[in-house]
Amino acid sequence: MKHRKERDSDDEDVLLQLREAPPPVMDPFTERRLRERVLRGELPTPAGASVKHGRRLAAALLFAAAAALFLFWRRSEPVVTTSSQWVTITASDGAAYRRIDEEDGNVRVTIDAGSVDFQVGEHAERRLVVVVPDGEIEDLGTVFSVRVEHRRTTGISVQQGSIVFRREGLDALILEAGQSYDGVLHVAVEVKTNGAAQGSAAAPSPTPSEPSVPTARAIGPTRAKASAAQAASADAVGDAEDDAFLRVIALRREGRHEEARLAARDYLRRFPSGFRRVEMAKMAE
Amino acid sequence: MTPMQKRPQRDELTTDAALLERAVGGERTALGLLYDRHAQAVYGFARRILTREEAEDVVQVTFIRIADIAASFDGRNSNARSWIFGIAYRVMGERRRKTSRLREILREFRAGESRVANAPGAHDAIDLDRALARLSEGKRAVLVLTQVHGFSSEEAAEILGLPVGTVWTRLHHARRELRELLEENR
Repeated sequence: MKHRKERDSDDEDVLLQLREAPPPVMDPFTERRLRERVLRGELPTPAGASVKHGRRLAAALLFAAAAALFLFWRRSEPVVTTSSQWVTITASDGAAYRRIDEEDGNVRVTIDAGSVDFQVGEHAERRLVVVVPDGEIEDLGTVFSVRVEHRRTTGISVQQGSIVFRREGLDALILEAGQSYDGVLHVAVEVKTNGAAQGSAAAPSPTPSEPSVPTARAIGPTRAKASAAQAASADAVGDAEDDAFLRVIALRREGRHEEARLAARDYLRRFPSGFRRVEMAKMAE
Repeated sequence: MTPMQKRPQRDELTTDAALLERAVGGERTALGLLYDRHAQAVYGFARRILTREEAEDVVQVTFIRIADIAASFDGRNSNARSWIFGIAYRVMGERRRKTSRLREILREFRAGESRVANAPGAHDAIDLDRALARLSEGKRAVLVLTQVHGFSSEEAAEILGLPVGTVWTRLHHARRELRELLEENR
């Protein structure tokens, strides 16, 4: 039996573990979406408000059964889901992920653990955002794989196109085709916010022990602190800013890099304090 | 100040209390700034108690309610951050009551999901979350507010609407139970 002091010390260790655990974080996309709804005074739609109680119960049971079936089915390897034409998701055995098709056609996939491959077709007007425990990844028209272990992204490999990896509390990375990222090695240079002025030239060479590791470009932090300017004209400016941002992303997805660069510059000119200014600055280079 | 250092903008220096005052007058910029400052923390708190979708709803409802009742904030008796968390906690309570039956049904499903999530290598980080999830909601709330969000026991008591003695007791039991749950898992 443990001595009281020993137990107290164990308790303190547990609290320390709790304090140091990464807190649950809203991805920037959701954060932004909710912000706009708050400023519009729009309440969440009550789930099934108009559905009678019994029907709601039946729906929940049906959902639970379908989910159980899905989880069972997902265990055989490899598991492929092709529920929409523009994105194919292949998960390795044991990978835990959730897919949400949002009303506006965007797809959000949350990976808790394991390896998941993505094949993304043409979708200029839609977005695929992969939420990982330590950040989010957005594709720019591509084929790529993501591996999550110990609640961290330990590998990203891009076969076609490019992706943006927005890491929680760190600078975002753009990975082009042929590049890969190893979360442990951290080969990409940490370029601070004024990323536009500092390019990938500043990135150190990979060490000899990590020869195949990427030369991913670093861009400034995406969790830009929403500033006064951002909030100043929340609705109109916010919508216009979103449109400008999405336009750049769409152009990049279509491989129209020069136009994307010009559009990114246009974004910076119009929204110098914009939510995505750092990312746009990098894309404007 | 070196050229690299950014001069804080006026709104970044404004206190939460002042922003609440401006929000009373219907100024949406002020509400936006409050959201920017506290939304992630409110989400982090709610997410420890509820599902992700519910936590997102809590964030949305909390800030809309802040706009509605900002006039009732009294800076002499509490600080704005505690006040905001208090609103969030009440919204969470309403949410829980509305969905309690549904949550019961889905509990079994979530247990299945967490088994799958328990892929090789994911154990350590998930253990803490799972242990935390097995604490009662009252204990979990006390633990998260004081240990993760750095509130004092008095502030946690204000947020939860409890006597401070109850907060101390819950905290004591919560950390003991959490340790035991973690040991069980090992």
